[in-house]
Amino acid sequence: MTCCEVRSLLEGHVDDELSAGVGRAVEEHLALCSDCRTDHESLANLKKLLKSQPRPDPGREYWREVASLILARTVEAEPPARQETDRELTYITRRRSFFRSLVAAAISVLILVSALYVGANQPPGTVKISTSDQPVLLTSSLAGMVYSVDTGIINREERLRLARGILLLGPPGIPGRSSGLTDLLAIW
Amino acid sequence: MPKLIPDLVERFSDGDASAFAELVRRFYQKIYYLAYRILGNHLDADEVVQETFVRVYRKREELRSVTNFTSFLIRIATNYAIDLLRKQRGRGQVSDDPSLLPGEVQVELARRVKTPSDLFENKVLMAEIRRALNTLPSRQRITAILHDVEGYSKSEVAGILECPEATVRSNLHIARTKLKKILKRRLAKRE
Repeated sequence: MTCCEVRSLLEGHVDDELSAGVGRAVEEHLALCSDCRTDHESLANLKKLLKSQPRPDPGREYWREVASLILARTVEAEPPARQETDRELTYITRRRSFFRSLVAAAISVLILVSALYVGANQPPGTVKISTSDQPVLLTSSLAGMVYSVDTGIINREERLRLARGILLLGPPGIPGRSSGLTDLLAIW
Repeated sequence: MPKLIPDLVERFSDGDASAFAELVRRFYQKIYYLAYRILGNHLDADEVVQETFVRVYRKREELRSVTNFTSFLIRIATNYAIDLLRKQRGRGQVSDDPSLLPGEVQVELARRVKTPSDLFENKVLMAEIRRALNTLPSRQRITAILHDVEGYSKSEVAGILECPEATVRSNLHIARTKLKKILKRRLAKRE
């Protein structure tokens, strides 16, 4: 065996991990090679030194107390039955919280759908403002503004057109939508 | 007839508090020694002992899938000790001055010390080894402590640290090389 091979096996030899044959070959080399022997001794001494440290022993009182402390922090503080109850409580609380969120979401959706339904089916407030026979739809809230003197929403010409029934004020949200004369003639 | 560890673990995971108490009794010293070697002081070692068993108690339902309880226990202790090591680095090393130990511990230490020179020699040796170990990164330090001080095999260390055996060999080799350099004088004295 070469020095290089032996050095790669020194830790295995010190840890007693080599097969009998390889171990014998290493020992034969160590008997002849002082450099490898020095390395081997250094390693073996380190292992002995680490192993030889006195065991820290805090004393009988400590050993007695620490076991009681551990049991006080575990078994006595948290009996199994109680722990099961806590777990169930956590589960129930989580489930309730989930259902509460679900109900809140359902109520919100219901309110939204109802509002849309009611809004869609509500007849718009209408006022007859045309002097002709054809009615012009106008929201009731806009009617007051249209007829008030100070309003700047429509001018004199528009008011005239409105009176003649050639200006239509549309449904809520689309005020001042005008219609062409040809359309109105078609209606007439 | 003393119960076997797997029997105790099974009973404990089924909720038997007396089995847990027996496991504590069987392992707390082992955990203390290991924690003390890693952390170098009584207060932190005590914290590791207590916290390890508290954590094991909380994880009792997982124990059914644990094949080696000892490795599982030592792993929890080692991981907690590594956390404390990081904190120690943040706050500075905790002194192991005997006067800072609890009163009854001091009494016990005083009772067992044979002569002042024994105490001195032990303290110097332990301090020297601890200083040398403290220079190593935590994984190398713990590998050296588990293998060379506490006597666990390489496969056991690999199981505890959850790493391949090759990593254990490599960490151990590096740790030993560094320790040989640092403790050169002490090793020469022994030769």
